[in-house]
Amino acid sequence: MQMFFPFTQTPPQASSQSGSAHTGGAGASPAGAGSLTPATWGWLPLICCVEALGLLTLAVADNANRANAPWGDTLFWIGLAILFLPIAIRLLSSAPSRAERIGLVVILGMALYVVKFLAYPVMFTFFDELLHVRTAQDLLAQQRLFTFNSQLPISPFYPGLEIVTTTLSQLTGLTIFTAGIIVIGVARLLLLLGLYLFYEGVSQSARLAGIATMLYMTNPHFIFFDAQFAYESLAIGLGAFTLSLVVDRLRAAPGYRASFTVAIWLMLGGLTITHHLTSYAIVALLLAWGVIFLWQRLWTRSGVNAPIGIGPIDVAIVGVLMTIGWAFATNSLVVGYIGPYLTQTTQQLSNIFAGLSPARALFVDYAGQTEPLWQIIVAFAAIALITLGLPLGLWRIWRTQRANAAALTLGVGSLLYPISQVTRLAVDGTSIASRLPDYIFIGVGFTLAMTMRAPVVRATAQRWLRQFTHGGRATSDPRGAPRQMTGYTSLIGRVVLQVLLLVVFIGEVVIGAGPNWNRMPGPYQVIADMRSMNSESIIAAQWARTHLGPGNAFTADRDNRLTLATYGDQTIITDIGYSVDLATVFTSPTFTATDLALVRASHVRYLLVDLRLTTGLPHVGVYFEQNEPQAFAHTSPLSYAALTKFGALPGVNCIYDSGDILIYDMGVYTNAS
Amino acid sequence: MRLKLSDLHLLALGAIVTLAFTPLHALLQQSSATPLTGAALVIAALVGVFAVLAPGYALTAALFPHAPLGLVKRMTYTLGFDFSLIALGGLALNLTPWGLSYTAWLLALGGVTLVASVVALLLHDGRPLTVEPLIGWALPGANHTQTVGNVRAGALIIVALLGIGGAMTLSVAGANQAQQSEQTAIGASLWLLPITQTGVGAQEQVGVRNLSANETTYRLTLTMNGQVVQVWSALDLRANQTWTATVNIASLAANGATGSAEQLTATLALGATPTTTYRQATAWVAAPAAATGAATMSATTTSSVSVAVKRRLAPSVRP
Repeated sequence: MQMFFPFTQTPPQASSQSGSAHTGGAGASPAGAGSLTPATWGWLPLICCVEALGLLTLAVADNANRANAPWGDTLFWIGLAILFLPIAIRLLSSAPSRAERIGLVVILGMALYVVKFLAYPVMFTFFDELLHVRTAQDLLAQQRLFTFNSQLPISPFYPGLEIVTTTLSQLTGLTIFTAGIIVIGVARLLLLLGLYLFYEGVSQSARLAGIATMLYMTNPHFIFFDAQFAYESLAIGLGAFTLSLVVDRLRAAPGYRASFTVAIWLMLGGLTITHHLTSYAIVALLLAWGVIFLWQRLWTRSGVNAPIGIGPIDVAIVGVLMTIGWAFATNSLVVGYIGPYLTQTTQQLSNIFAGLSPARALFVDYAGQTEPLWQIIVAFAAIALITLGLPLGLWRIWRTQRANAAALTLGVGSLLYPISQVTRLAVDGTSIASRLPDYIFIGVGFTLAMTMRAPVVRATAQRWLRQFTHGGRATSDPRGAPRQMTGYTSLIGRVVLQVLLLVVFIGEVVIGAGPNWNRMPGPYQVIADMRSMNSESIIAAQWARTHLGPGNAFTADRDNRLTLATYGDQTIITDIGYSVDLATVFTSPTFTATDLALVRASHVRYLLVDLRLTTGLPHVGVYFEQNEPQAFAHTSPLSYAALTKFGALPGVNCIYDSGDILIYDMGVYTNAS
Repeated sequence: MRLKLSDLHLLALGAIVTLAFTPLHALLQQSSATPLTGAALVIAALVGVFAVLAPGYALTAALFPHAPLGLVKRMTYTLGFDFSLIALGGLALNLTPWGLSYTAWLLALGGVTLVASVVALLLHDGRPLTVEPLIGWALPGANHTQTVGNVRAGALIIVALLGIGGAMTLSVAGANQAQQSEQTAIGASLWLLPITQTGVGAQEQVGVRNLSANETTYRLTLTMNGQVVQVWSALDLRANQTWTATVNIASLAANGATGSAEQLTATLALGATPTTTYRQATAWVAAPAAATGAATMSATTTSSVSVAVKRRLAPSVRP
């Protein structure tokens, strides 16, 4: 019988109790093959109850916010703290077993996934979600890939999410919503387990892996952005799992390396066709890791104990070939999609630093809604704590993990965190900044975990606490080594650490989720995506499908387009899809010859007008298109006269009226009737 | 010879059942015009769940035949491989004439599972996979303390699950209530649509949907170029009830509107405030050249209510 011992390196540190990683064997269970006593439950069951309490609190908070109760927002933060703190406390402790740590990170990650579900439990409402729903609907209807999505043309060319979701939907009879919730939930589970196994493989410590995974969950988009039905939510799970496979392969017995290589190729393939940015980020990480690995082996003496082989460089090259190949196979659509964001952000940042244009106002949305002062303070404190914590973690990585190429790579990757914060100053930078944390926090989580495990941190904390609690009578350890804290000092130290962790967590949620309307359900707000796509929009879209039939050329504001495309199954004329910007048709005070020319050129048959747009500024900065007049700089709402001018045009029918929403038939101008 | 069944045997068996179910499902679908119901639906769903989850498990067993991976890794590998296999399988199926259809998926996923589990069985020498529990409650012969601990843990987890279920229920109820409130706030929608285009026999459909939670009375008025041509003075619609009527434009030509475009307007008012416009829809109609007599109207409501009305338009209502 061939024994399976993929990990040929030095066995992991035998840290206190069962907090260490593997006790041997390739991916072998720490409990061994039934030979060791399995771990106890620890605090897991009790913490499950606390998490349930936190979720109940959040459900009440959401319902309160739906009813416009002012205390809903406060309860939301309390609920989040209930979810985060107990698990953070337990993970920082040395007591839990590996099994309990895995349970803790899974429970926390899944509970944070449920937070988004509780906010919108009956349908997809996030902007990106409906874009992908349309792609999934087309796939389901046509049973073919690479359909046309006029609102996100690149989506059908990275169809991994839609394939998996529609397959589950087809084979089980579930709706796209239910199947999507399950798929993203499983992807979240994959992310948590993959990340944990990756960190554990790199650090050979279950305790550090647990802390690092928890710190990853403080990334600003973990709760909402990464929980939405969108391709990156699935891709980041695939990416994390791929990384864990690469670590496993490095330590695998020679007989299994080929198996791991096949598995990694399979995962890279799936990742490549699921999401462009995530595949690039994971491949870039692998490349950096491979280069550092080779550098260690070839040019330094620090890699003498490194495992034999070429490290991850071969799979990184395969990844590069796959991503570039797929980009070419899809006519380089991705260049046209991502390129403008990069160039515009660079341009805007250079203008800001040159003093030519002001920086984007932070913590205030485009409708002027400012976040509370305490949230702004906590957000800045979070950024400061992370930024200040990184150098210590880097120093510790250099001191203790210098021979570990993966650890070095993660440390270097974490340096992108302060840089990514700068992009928030640019208008287009938010689009980039909102996608980077998923990847940067892979490094930040590890580096900060190293910071928290640094002896100097623990020794300093103890010294300060002793002086605080004993009037400075205690002397510090001259070597700076940690001393066992007992009783009160230990408790205070942990409380301080927990408070700092909570500040990081809450602060990053503030940064990522933004104002109240972006986090919680509630009454309608003007162009606020999930808060704009309410019943009236959906009913109008459903009416269009029933009474006009599918596939009519429609246009509308940014949010009603999505409901028309998904609930209404209409063809939406957009700038990104058809290179026709119809924004001025809506915004011009009178129907001009230019508007007529635009309507004719676009062949748009129906205009959906939402009169609620006259009641406020757009919360996301634009009413219709990214390049509309006064985009991201609106100072007054759209005029009622401008939006209702179509009713006075000869031959134009107002075929639908639900109070706020009117649908005009422009067939007389487009000769479509 | 005694056959010892392992998870891989069951997997292979499941894959065969899945493959066998494919023509059966097609047959069931052909034999009845309606979608599957009852037991057939349950079986189809179970086969679907198996087809989605099994390939990753089988592939893990085939790639790492002798690995005591442990529960966590085996689960992670299974999920990861499943997602990637399905995503890449979609690409492959797209190249086939069948596309990403139900049948094609069952055959593809069942086939992958069967092949992978047979490979795994061959490599395994007939030994079952060992999946160790994370927590000790599954071990036989657990001592009394551990049993008590397991019972306590189980009870707490049940409480937690009830709490999470309660949170979800609360949230769904809140979201549904909010939706109902939004609909009530809308009140009603009105539409006016051409059924047939202009010319002889042109027809328009006028419709009203009561979106409020209560029965509501509406007053609907049709005007042609400002002149009232039809009035429904008391439309009683229950919650979420839809009412429609078909208007024949042809007769309007008799009133001298030949050849010119005219504007038909539907104005909805609440019964309590009949003079205040609540909703309004318009349609430009070209009156036909030849007079054809009386306008014909028919009205229908959804649910069990269906009313047909034929009414002669009084010549006096037109100028």
